[in-house]
Amino acid sequence: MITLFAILIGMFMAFAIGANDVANGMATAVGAKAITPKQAALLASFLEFLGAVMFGAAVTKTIASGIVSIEHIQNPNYVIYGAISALLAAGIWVMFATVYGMPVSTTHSIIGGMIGFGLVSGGFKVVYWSKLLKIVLSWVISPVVGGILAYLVFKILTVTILHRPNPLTAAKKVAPVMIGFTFFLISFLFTFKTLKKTYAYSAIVGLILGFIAWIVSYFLTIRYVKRNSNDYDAVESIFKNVQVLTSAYVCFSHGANDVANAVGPIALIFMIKQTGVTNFSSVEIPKYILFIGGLGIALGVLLYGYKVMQTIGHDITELNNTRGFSIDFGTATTVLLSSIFGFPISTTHKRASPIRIFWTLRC
Amino acid sequence: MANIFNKLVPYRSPLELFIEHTILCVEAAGVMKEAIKVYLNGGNIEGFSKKIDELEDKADGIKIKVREIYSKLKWTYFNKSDFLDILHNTDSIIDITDDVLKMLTMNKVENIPEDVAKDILQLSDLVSESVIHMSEVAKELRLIVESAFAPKEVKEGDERVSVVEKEEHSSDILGLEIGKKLFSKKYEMNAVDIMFLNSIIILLMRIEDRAKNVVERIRMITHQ
Repeated sequence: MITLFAILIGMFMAFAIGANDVANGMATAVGAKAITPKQAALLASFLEFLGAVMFGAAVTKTIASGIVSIEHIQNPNYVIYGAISALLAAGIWVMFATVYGMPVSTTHSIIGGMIGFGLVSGGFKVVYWSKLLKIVLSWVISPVVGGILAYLVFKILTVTILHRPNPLTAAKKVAPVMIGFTFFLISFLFTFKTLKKTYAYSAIVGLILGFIAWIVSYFLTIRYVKRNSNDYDAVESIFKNVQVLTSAYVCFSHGANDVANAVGPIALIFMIKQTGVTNFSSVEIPKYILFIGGLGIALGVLLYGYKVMQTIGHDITELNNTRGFSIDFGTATTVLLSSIFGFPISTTHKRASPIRIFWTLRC
Repeated sequence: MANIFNKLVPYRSPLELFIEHTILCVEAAGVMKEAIKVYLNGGNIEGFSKKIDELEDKADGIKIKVREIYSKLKWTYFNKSDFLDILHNTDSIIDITDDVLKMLTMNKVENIPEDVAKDILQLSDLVSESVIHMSEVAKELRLIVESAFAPKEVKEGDERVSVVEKEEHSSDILGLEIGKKLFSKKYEMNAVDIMFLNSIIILLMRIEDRAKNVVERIRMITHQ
């Protein structure tokens, strides 16, 4: 019964994440009218689910057992009720913030909830302060890394496309390379970290998939790109479509990182229910727990996130498609890498950083 | 959680709106040129005035929209006050064309000397051309931003700016010549008519001056 209750709250939290956060991932693509809000919702829900199931385990492990030292809490029931309390508190806070339009992070909320539960049940000694410091540092470092990555990607686009004598001809060559590289990165990381294959094997898989993506996108670019009144508009039209891919990449990495905010405490409850103790040696996150979280996020996107995306769909960003692409790429790559290393970070707050860097460096 | 991105993205691109605004300036300058032609030939210009009023309303709408967007935007390509100042200058172009039209409806000058009429027409032509070139600089500004400030686009923008500067210089010279010509006719023409036509010329030169201000400020923000 208590497990079912925890699942329900976790689903509610996952639903809230899908309903609100996912719109951020697809905002630029919908705003640029590259896809409709309905298409964006379908695509986002699928990719959020996929990201959660494929890469969600490491961060879930951090939320479940990397913040509070549960072996110091002798009574398993304390941990179960504590995890439910943390989840419930974070869920209520997130809903409250959503109603009042406050830009809060689900990541910060759940970590705050877990710390609160730890302090109440075991005092200061049960919180992993050094690990927490690393997590907090990642909140400071990751936006900077995302910003630098976005800046570097945009500088590459500037040198290889925008400052060339024929930007359109250059874009037809460079855009498919960017797409190929994105596929290489995702497939390499998935094979290496999730499937636990060797470095060389993962690199070969990444290269093959990246090469296929490059070839396909090259022919699609050649086939469908039309010359506009000026070369820059034509380049933007290419990147308008490529942005669908990077927005999808943002959703995928978002699913990988934020699923933990909903299922981390559930994973903890499941493990205690299974073992009956609080001092289990290793933590293995069952795939079905990630599946539950992914499903909740996907439902949130489909049932409510669609409305949020429709609102954003009316906006045309001051950032054009090439800049939007760079920001999405920088954000998604940093979020995905953070997910792999088990750092729960806020995707909502992170996105503003590349834009701030763009603005400061006047790109 | 809530959409921080929503606060970062405007409903319309301010640059696009600015270009639309300059296109309205071009239309207004064109209408004014036609009205001056009709006036100098002794025709009725009431209809032209109405047209300018409509353009002014549209321009005000755009100005409000840009201000609204800018008040929500956290980060923009250019300094907000610089951009709004440029917009203020383009807006004043339409306002001055409206002033010219209103002035023309106040007084009917009969028997304008042919050489003066010809020069006034030439001046209004020059002014209208400058406003067209100013609008082209605004379009170039969009290309400069899209090209990530590509040196070739910045150079192209600078060249267009210097065209407007040269035109402003020519208009200044022509305006002074017309003024001198008018005052030299103080014993032949009605003094009020001389002052009236001189006021029209000063307003035309002011439009040219505003167009120059706009392009110079555009050059300034692209070189910051």
